[in-house]
Amino acid sequence: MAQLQQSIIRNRLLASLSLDDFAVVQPHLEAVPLEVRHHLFKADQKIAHVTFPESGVASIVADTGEGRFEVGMVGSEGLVGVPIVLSVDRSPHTCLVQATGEAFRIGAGELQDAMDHSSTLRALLLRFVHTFIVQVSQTAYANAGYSLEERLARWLLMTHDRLERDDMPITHEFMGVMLGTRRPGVTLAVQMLEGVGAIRATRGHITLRDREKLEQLAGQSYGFAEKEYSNVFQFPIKRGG
Amino acid sequence: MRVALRYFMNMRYRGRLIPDYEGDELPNEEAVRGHALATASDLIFRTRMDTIRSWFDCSFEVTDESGRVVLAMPFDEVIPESLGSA
Repeated sequence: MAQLQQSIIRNRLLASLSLDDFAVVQPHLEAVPLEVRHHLFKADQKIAHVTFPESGVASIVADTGEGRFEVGMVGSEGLVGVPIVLSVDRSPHTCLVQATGEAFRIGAGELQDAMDHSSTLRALLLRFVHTFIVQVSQTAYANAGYSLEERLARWLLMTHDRLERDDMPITHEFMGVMLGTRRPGVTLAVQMLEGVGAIRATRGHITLRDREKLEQLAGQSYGFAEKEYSNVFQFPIKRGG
Repeated sequence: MRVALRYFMNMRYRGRLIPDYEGDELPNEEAVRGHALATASDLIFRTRMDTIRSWFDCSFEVTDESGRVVLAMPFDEVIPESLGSA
């Protein structure tokens, strides 16, 4: 089988590894599809793999029994399986695919061995963990202080950062789960964003029309975590951004 | 075999009707009112919106798959009457 070339990799973390660090992980990388609603790990079960999305989006969700809501979002800028990087083998959260794509994955044990072998690899992955913590903190801030319209604007911007197209196949039901609210609230918020020309909504689809307007609507709830990512990695969270 | 039915939680706010195109699956028409109360209660107590000054200006107009209105419920029905009149 032809050896996987780093130059064709789209995941930003794998692509920014040094040649030596890439050589350490490369033999263990396995290409896998990301299929909508497929679980990448489940709450309180051993995390078998760390997944590096090439395209598509994964959501880390908290399942409280009273309902489910999103606590973190990962695309080709990051990795799924933060606990493994921190030497913890499971999480109380669940991770599922939100938008179809492709990924490379590596066994949890193999990645831990590779990090033991290379301090620069560990350092790079820990820098991502830091940016992920900032993202999750900003979600807590947005949930505490912002209206549903502002939070929806932020969530659409975050999804748009990770998808490479303006047309996003998302139902109101799904956005309700992600934002921890009931669907009728989302329907009202979508109407508002559509009314000011930021998006166009058709059944099961949201099309981004005016990103700048969406950023204005999201206000300070969006941008802080994204700026921290570019400060840490010296490239923007949004591909081509 | 029991077949779940789909009910659409259309909302009326200050005279304007906001249609629900996705709907919720419920076992029967008797379940609609409980579902509407739970949904309205969740919105009133947990969701802050810029667009809605007061959730108590809203009501649900729930329709079935044929478009027939099966329930019209103002959100203030979430508050029991004994409390509302206190």
